[in-house]
Amino acid sequence: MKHHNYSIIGHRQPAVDAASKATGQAQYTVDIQLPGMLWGKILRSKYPHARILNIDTSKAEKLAGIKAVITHKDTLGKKFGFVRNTADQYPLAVDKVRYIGDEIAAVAAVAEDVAEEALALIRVDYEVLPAVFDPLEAIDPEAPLIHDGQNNISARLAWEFGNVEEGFGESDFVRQDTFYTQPVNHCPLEPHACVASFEPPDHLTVWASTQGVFYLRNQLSRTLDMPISNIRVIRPQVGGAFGGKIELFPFNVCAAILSQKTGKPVKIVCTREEVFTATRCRHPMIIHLKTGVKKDGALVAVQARIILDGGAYNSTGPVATYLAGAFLCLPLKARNIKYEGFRVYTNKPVCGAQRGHAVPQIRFAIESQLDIIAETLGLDPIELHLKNAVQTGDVTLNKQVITSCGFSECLEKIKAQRSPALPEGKGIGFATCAFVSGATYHLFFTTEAFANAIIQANEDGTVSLITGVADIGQGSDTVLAMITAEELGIGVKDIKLITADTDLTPYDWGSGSSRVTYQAGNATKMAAAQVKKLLLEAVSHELDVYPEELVARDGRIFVRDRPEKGISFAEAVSLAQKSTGGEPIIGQGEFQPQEAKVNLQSGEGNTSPAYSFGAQLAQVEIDKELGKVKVTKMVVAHDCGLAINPMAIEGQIEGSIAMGHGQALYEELIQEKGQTLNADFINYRLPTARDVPEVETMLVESVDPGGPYGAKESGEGIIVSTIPAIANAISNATGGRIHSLPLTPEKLLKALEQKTK
Amino acid sequence: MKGFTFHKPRSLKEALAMLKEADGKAKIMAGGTDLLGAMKDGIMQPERLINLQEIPDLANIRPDNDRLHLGALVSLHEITVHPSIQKRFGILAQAAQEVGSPQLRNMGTLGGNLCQRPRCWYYRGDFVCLKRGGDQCFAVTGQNKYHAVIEGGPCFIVHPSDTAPALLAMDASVRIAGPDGEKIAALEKFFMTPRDNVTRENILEPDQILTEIMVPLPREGSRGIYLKARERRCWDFALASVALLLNIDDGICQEIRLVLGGIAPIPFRASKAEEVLKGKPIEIELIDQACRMALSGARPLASNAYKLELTQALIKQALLTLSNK
Amino acid sequence: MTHQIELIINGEHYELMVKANKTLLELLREDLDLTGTKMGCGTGDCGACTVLLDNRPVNACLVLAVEARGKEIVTIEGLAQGETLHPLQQAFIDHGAVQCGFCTPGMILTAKALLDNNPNPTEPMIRRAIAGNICRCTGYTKIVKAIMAVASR
Repeated sequence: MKHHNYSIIGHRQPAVDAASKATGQAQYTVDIQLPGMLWGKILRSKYPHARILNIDTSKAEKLAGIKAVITHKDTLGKKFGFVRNTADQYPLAVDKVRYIGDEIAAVAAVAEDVAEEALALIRVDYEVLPAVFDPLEAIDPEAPLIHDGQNNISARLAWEFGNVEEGFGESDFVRQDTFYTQPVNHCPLEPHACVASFEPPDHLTVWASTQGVFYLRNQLSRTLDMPISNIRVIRPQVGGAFGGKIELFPFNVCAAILSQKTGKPVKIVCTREEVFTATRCRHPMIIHLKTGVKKDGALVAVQARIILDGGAYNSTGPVATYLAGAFLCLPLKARNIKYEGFRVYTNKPVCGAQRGHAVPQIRFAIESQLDIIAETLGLDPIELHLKNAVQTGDVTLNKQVITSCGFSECLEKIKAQRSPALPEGKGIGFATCAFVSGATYHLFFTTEAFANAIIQANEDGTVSLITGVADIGQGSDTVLAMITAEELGIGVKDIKLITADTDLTPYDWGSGSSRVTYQAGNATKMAAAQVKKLLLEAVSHELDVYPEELVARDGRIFVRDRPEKGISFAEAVSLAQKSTGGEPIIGQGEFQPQEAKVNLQSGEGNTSPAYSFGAQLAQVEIDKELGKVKVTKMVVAHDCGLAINPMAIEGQIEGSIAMGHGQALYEELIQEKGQTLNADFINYRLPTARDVPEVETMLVESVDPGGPYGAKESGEGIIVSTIPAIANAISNATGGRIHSLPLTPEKLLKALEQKTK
Repeated sequence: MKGFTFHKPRSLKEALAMLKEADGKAKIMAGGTDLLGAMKDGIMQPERLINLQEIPDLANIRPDNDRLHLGALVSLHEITVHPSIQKRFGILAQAAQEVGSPQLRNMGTLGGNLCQRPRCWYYRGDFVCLKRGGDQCFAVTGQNKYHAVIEGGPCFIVHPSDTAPALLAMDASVRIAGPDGEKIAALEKFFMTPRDNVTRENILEPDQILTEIMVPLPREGSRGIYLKARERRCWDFALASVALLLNIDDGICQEIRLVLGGIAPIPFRASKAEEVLKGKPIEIELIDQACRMALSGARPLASNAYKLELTQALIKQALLTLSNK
Repeated sequence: MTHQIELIINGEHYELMVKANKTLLELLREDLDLTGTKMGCGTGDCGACTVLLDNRPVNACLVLAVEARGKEIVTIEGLAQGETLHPLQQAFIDHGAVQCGFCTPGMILTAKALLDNNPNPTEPMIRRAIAGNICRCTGYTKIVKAIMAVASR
């Protein structure tokens, strides 16, 4: 830990909303109950690929208690998508259905069971079409076309920096492997949900379990063809998201239209099965990876050709395809890099963003392969990483600018923790990660800043922090409150948060790509600094000193060298108001990243204003006869910049590890002909308290020059190294190598069998 | 969940009369943890539920001289904490401890655990499989890593119960009440393979109620163990499980009952493995031979052969533990 | 078909009419507005709906409201005494054991049942007791620490 003299920042701060959550008072979208509210339900396709010939809703409409039934005819037939120019999904199917779960119709009823009953009464005539499930088959020119008029490649990006062929020629050792990753679900414990209330003539209010209210508003506006100012999106508490609630979903649009039709508020809560099959999952990938190194482990060339199985729609496809390539090497440097990524449509559930967004897959591959290379060459994998580690001031081949980097320090710390010889059946594995602190590209093409904050000081000594940020449980509201409190020298309890309401709060992109602490944190700090300036000026007149001599701390504003000379924060607010004739004491801040255009075609550009780094050590015990892996401990060294709330950062790391542990060992959506067989928590296994490892966290605070107080991303990127660290530990313990996730007993027994042959 | 009527008889007689009157349209409810899940999944839609909670004695645990009487409504939690079950019927306590989650064990009952419906994802999913009146078992050519490796066909479910193998290892029997009075059946005869009847897993007729499980006191010196392989340490049904009751006297295996769970449509008694060891001194070579014999005749599907290795490893571990090798 | 039931929820006596197919979870959330009890799956596989039924944690999604007749129910809303939080609630807050908070009510109730039964559990005993409550956010580390902090008092 760096020494610093902050009174709030860097201290362990309980979350500002923890008490309301621990007492059951916190209101989530699923808890909203409005007068006259109706229940909405969605009719979904039973077929993976079919043309819709006719939809007959007449019987459903006649059912007692049914207030509305809608099909695509009730929509504007506008496509939406995460990236505007690749929009390809309709709110309700217009001509075809492209996966089992695709939305066909929606109903609103007085009760949930009535709505369910009505769905069964809707008759859909289909012409079943040939479907394709395997991405390799989908690429075939003869494959059935999932989107008419285009082939099944939904995104393709390719670039080369340096010359990999020459690089492989210069290498002392070249290794080639193919790795496979599985579809996994985010599994937020709160299912996706929204309540829509249309107030005539033209105003819509939507409460949604979402990661970004402005993003949702923007998407609703375009899909419903309503001006943004007529739509108000509010985020109640969100029961987990992990990337899965970042997009617009058809049920959001359906709820709005149903409310407009019925004149009543309409609530739609996805069933757990719908969350699994009809929201988003992580992209499964096939990764062909070739790496060339010198004898001493210096990385000469890395070449990856990957196929992302995208499912029926584009979702975040182009972004995912870009990120997998952009993080092919970081946190390491290679002299030559070649990347080719195909994202392919298949008649399966849609893949999009999930914690780590395409980086965990590619890094599972590369960290596994580096482990193989280190072992083959008799090198220490940590030394191999140290040799190639990115450093502060580096600009990578694809033009990522490393403004701060404690990666080598992370590696040294992990090295010191490594235990020597291990007994039979135990193993350790090592892997690393780097991740973004938000993006530098703007997906909405608006002129608004990425993040904004308004702070108003109140005469009772509190301040209101008004921001569009949507805390999804990760604790970002607490971080922003801490920044405000630190800057103004008051307590976290003195900060009143008004957040995530498009009518009340200024624009913010939302909780995604680990951007809030860095981007909204900067905006908040700037707004607070403005308030502080107004207050210090007023106090300086009163005390007859220069503003520069004043300090705001512990609820007071006082002279630095004479702490007894000062007034309370509340008095300072009144004083400032008096001096301006009663103007509100308001500060305003925004954050806009430096001009740094990412060119998806060339792969060049600075992905993020700052990067976090990490290294992990997994310790495992293996029961070779049962193929059973127990991860006993994970040791993490994480460069998250200055740790604003160490307790929350530990919590993020521990959570990331638990999720990575599940995804490494057992989580997998089992699909057969487009049908998900385990859309439940029995056969889709989430780790329990008895399964997860002990976690030891070491923070490396590199203090980023651009981050608020030097802070960067934390916790999302750590899942990237968790998965390969476990895979490498299993290999270390058994000598067997598994190239596909998850690392199940079935695969481990097979790997062990092959090894003994 | 579709609508139904709810009935709470105060005596067994009343319950039986209700069942008879319902003529197949009612289901018996004990803890409800499996039943309500199955109803939510839509695999059963009874018009009536007959809840047994208020019938006296059904939740009693009553040891007598030579056996333990367990009412069908004894909760799984109670079995795990009952001192005399822990002491004398350890396999059962261990097995009950492995069921579901703590919450499910608080509501779930022993009778319910024996009568629970299978967890096959085709049966529970939107597939009209053999068990749901269709004409094929989708597991045969589909995703079958959790399905039966032995005694399968035409349907390849596995029996999901943890307590059933344990009770079978202890040679338990069950009391069944019906319109014509009571009968007692060996638990071994209670379960039905899909070959016998693909739509159900046991001999209970729609007008009958499982009321009691009786477990003979193991002979002096007998030891038992229940081992379960699974991916997570809570909730998961067995990938494979082993219940073993062993009596060794003078180094000779006097009695052995070895029952396997999670691998067959019924709890599977590994008689061939028992024969290898019975009456013989327990030696490593014989243990290995027993492990091999336990699953002779197994015919794994495309993705579940690993269960053979798992099961053999569990059997070996169980035998080594109980014989102090 | 509706049934009249009497039961005690958070110390208060209720007389209610319920449909046979209404779960205890639906009764609490929809009829009584006790929305602190959450639904994560509806099939007993996540523990978010955990309430105490005669002092034992159960999945309220797998209990029929009619089955609760004559029983005593405790939900998260029944834990604090006025302004004073239950020690477990306070410990969860102080130790950072709450992130998204959706598992928190069920988790705290499960922990309460454990500590009421055994005031001094070991860490493995705590992990065993809360294994039926899924948390996707925290990795359980801080939850276990919070419970241990109360246990060691």
